Amino acid sequence: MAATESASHQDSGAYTALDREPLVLNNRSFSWITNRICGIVENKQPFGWWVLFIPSVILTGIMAFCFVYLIATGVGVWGQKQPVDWAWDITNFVFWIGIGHAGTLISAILFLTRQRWRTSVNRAAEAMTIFAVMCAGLFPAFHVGRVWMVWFLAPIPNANAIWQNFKSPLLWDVFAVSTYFTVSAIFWYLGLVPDLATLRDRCKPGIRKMMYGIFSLGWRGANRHWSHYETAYMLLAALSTPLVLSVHSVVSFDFATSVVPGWHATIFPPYFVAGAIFGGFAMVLTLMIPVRSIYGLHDLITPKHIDNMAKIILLTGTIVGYAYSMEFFMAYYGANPFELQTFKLRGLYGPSTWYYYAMFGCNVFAPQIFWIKKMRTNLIAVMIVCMFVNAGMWYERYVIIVTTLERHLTPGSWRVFHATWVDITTFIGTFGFFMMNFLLFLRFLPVIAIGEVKGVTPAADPHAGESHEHGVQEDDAMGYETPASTYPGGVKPAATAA
Amino acid sequence: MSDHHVSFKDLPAGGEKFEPAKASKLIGLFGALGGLGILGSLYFFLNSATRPAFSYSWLFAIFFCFTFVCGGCFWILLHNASNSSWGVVIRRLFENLGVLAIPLGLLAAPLLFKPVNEHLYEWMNHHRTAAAHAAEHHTTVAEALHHMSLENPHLHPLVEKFGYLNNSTWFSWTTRFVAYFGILGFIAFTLRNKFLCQEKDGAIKHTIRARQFACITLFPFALTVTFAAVDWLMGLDYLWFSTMWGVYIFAGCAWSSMALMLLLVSYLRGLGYLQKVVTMEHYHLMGKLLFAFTVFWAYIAFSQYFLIWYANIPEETRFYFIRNTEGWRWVSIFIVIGHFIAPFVVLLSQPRKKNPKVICAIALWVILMHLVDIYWNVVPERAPSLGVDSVLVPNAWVGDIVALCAVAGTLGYLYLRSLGANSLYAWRDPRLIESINVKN
Amino acid sequence: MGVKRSKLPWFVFFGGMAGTCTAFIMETLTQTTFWSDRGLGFLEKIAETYPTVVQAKPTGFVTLPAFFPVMFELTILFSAFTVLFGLLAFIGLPRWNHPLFTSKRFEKFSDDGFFVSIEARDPKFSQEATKAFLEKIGAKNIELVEDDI
Repeated sequence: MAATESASHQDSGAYTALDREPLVLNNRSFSWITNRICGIVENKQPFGWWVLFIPSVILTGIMAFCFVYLIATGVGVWGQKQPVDWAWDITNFVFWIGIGHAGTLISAILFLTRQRWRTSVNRAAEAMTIFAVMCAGLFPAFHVGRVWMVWFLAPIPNANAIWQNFKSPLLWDVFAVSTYFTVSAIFWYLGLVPDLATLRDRCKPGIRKMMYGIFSLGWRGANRHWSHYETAYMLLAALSTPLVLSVHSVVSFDFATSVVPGWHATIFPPYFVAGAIFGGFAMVLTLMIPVRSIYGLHDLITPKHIDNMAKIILLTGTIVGYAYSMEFFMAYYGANPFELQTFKLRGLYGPSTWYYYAMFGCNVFAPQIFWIKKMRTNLIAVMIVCMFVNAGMWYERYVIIVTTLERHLTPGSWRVFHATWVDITTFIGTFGFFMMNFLLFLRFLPVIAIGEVKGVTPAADPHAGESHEHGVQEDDAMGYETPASTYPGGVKPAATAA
Repeated sequence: MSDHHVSFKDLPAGGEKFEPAKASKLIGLFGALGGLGILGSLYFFLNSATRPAFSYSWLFAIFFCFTFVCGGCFWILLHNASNSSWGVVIRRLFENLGVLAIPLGLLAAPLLFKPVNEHLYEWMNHHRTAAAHAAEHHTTVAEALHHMSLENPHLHPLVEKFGYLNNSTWFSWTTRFVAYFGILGFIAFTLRNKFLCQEKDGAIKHTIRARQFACITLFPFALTVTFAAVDWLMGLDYLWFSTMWGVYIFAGCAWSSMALMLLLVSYLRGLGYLQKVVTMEHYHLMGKLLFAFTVFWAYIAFSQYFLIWYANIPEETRFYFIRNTEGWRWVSIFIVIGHFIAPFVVLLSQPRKKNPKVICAIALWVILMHLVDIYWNVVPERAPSLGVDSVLVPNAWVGDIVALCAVAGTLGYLYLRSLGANSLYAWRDPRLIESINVKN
Repeated sequence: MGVKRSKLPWFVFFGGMAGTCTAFIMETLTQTTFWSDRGLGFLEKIAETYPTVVQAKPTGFVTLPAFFPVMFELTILFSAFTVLFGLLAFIGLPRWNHPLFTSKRFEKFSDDGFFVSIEARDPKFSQEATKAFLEKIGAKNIELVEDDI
């Protein structure tokens, strides 16, 4: 063995490969992976799970109470008054729907771009998407005021044969969000099927086995199944990619199609999408870092994964910064006095400038710390930045929606928005609802895509051991000394004359 | 598709050197086009009757080539910043494309001079009048402009945006003009140099340094593309604005330069180069990226049009208004079909992306449509600005072709000549073997 | 293993087109005079629609851009449903039971094992010869799974 190795070194002496970091550490075997992930579902939940679950259920109850109170009393229990008709509810709607986007990005776009590291986090991120969209959907539904009339949103003519206005961005929203929810659910479920079969095969006969049996659809992993399945999965990824772009674009159309200064900007669609991915990744990390340590998944969600996601946060945070700057620049360059005034009120001397600074600081400046590699692998630093981003993305929507309406075109009716206790508790309640769903997901479904993560282990590589190139690990690359034999003539050139 | 694993031993030591003699026909063609084009351009520039219309031709040709240079820089930045491997075998070709920023800057120089840009940018003429007033009354240009705007309210926006749109402070249109080419050239030269050093000493640190450099310069690059697009195209009508503009131009840059790369790789393979290192997998990957940017461009272009159409604000709609008038309307519709629908449908299928002949035909079409797109962005302003009573300036199309031959011909000639200086691919890049054996 | 590329993409393409058309017809019929302008006014009568000018967007066909978002979303929605149901149809699932589930060793397929099953309906199948062949190539656990039905 040693002899062949040294021989191959000489053959390719002039060449040194830079090795990829492994995505599953410690050379874990297939059955180790199965046991570890299925174990989460099969064993008793750790103490930490209950510590999070019970408050989440309580918060969900509070949220339900708030909505019942709202139905019983009227939307007036929220703080909106003319001219601020869209306030926390729409802010929360955009916030939650944005959170969902990272899930689709990870599952679809990273799949299409062959980013193999996605396998460790895509399942949880997709689940997050679905729960976030559920939270998002609540707000516009109750915002309509008479929630029992919410079926008016569906494309069915009402009693007077009046149809929905298909030219309205609000109706596009209905289509976009419901399509998004449906397609995400299908994508998530299809991905789950083989793993549900694994769980089924491990269960003892009983109600659990029956449920897993039903939901795994009788999957038996035949070669023909996989062939169609992989095509279907690829197709769904290809469909979800434009879908995810369209959803937040349509949400941005709610604002950008109007002639309200501060809302009408052509850059809104990609700017909203980038912001959504940015905020969503922060939420993925917020969820996955605790999951990783509670369930001991350090070999599957490695520092490399966290590092990658931190880099995406840095990138998208900078894109968002570009969009903020572009908006400001065009408000100036466009020389429209109303537009410019809106931005001055947002950022310089309006009643809510505080929100603008919070938005800019949390979204653009906080992630810049990720330029330092140590910060990207330091879990505490990553968590802190993610918290900043979670908050910052909420502020961003608040700035766009509320501070714009507070100072609209008619100064006579200007009014500063004040949130009521119902606004605040409803929003906090949705976090409970979101967490409750996520914890139940951890309890009953495999949190990591077992079948997919096996595919990125070294054992699954059919070419493993075929490559004879001498490789260097990323961490040693900077100080790597090229062997002298590789220089022309076998002599290392004297240190370059400086 | 063979499953054979290519290792370093299978490759020629020192990479593959391109011999310009082998491509003498194409190089000669480009050289001839460029030389004749420049002679023709000199005629059009020096003749005061043709100069107004030809200024637009020149801007069109320069901007068309500029998008490829930007695209070249973008792809190398993306490749390095994202730590990817598949493109190692074609990265050098993009690097050489980015390096063209400097000769392009020299070719673009006529735009800096009054006899040319007075026909292009109306705001400059107002600024010149203001500067004359300022010299007369010993005030600043900004103040003189302000006085002018009291009589002519149309000039008020120019007062508002004086800080950006001016030619009399340090942060002027001219300074930025030089900076754009400087930044692009710096990016491309630096990245190419790092890998050329690597070919000498084999150190991996150059790869890591290139990655760091690319991450840091991505943002300045984005600003360069955006503001170049604002200064040169948006400035044609100083009242019009769109926040999406930079992204729109960028989408076209990435799209067209990927198409050019497909053609170039196929051409080189036809001459016998890159046979071992570029596989059908690379064609497939490039085809997929071409597809992705087809969709991205459509998304951006549609969003921009759609929001302006829906809100219907006069100072914004004028851009589309001009381009929806008479013959231009058909060009607009042709762009929708040819720039998006046709490549979208054709590129959907995987076998088509893996067939070099088909993908080259598509790439050629893509470059043609990109040409139409840039033409559609620049030229419709010409007739209204020059006060011609029609949507087209008669016979100006001759100048457009001459300018295009001059700029594209010269750059093509320089590009092919420059390929011979170094290996066609980074032969000691630590990701080379991974790139050659890529599967997707 | 000689499995052909799935035909699913074709079905999905037409599923998506169906979505686009559904949205187009729904929108133009309810919001525009597109169909009656083409002598198909009876459609408006059947569907009882009254196109009106809303948001300063006329009832003509020029309003088309405003209809793109819904057309796009329904294209994706119909395509996704085609993927789901098409896949299930192609692979013959769901089914509650399968003879293989009675095999003791079968359940390891979903962990870290491989399971080769040769179906009796295979024309080359023969209870003895297949078993002998498998033994010859080194199989250790050969099992005969019988269908109860």
